[in-house]
Amino acid sequence: MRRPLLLALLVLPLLASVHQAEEVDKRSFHRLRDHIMPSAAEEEWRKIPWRTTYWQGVVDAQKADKPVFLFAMNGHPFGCT
Amino acid sequence: MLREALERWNEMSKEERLLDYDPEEVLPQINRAENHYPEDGLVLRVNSRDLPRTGLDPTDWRSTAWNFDYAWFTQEEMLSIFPRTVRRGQSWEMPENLVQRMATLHMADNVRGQTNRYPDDGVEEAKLECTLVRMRRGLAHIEMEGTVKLRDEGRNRGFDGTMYGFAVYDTNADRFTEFELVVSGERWGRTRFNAREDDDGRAPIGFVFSLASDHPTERVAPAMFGAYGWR
Repeated sequence: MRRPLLLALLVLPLLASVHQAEEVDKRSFHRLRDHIMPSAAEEEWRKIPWRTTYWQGVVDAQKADKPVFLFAMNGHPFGCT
Repeated sequence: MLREALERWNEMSKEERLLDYDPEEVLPQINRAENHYPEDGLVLRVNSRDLPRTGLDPTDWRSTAWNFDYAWFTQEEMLSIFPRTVRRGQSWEMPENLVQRMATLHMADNVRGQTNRYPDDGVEEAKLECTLVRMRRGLAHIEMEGTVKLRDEGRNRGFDGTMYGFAVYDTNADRFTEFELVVSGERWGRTRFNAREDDDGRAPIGFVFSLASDHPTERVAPAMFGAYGWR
């Protein structure tokens, strides 16, 4: 009886810490930053010369005598929807 | 379909293909949020991602999902972040309205998808203390440390976090040359489109506020620009 209770007491704090957020300070700053920041692979899309707005695309297309390819969907571009 | 469209395009005369007016002349008439890009102010990129935890499926895109947004500051707001009167070793609070805006609009859980801002009255705490740690050749080296507590009772969601980071302000050029602020905390609850249907318990999440580049994609307006009240 004493052993399972002891085991539970040891395991409970571990389970509690599984989802606990780490406090950010001088020591954890770089590690947390590097985890959150996108990798080079995640930034590949930036190599495409995007225009910020649709109409800027129209302006550039008119100058270059090229068609505009418009892909439209609902939601903010940062929304992943 | 694209090939067929291109063929049709090439069959058209130049007059048919192009507009009969200069579209550049229309550009200033379009009141887009991007027109308010703060050229002389401060633009921070805000990256967001879940922090490590157990129980996530590594093959599921949601486990490593990452998103980003931009936080804009007018020149006046930027100047208010670094008071010229401070001396080395002194601390001051970043203006409350700016920290609250960073918190309510940019510390919302958008990791997996579009989300809603936190309400203004949902800020239980949002403080960012700045300390001038070094001043050399007009460059002010600033350390930042703070806490944030957000609640959205209507949606039963919230965020408790800590903040820490560094910035360098060039007092000669009146601009930040470095800015990195990490936010680490626990979020819970969900919004309609942020894909937390099966993951709305307390879990760690992180944000990094860093200087945006002048890449065209970095001029996109903040997702919740409407709440800035700039137009």
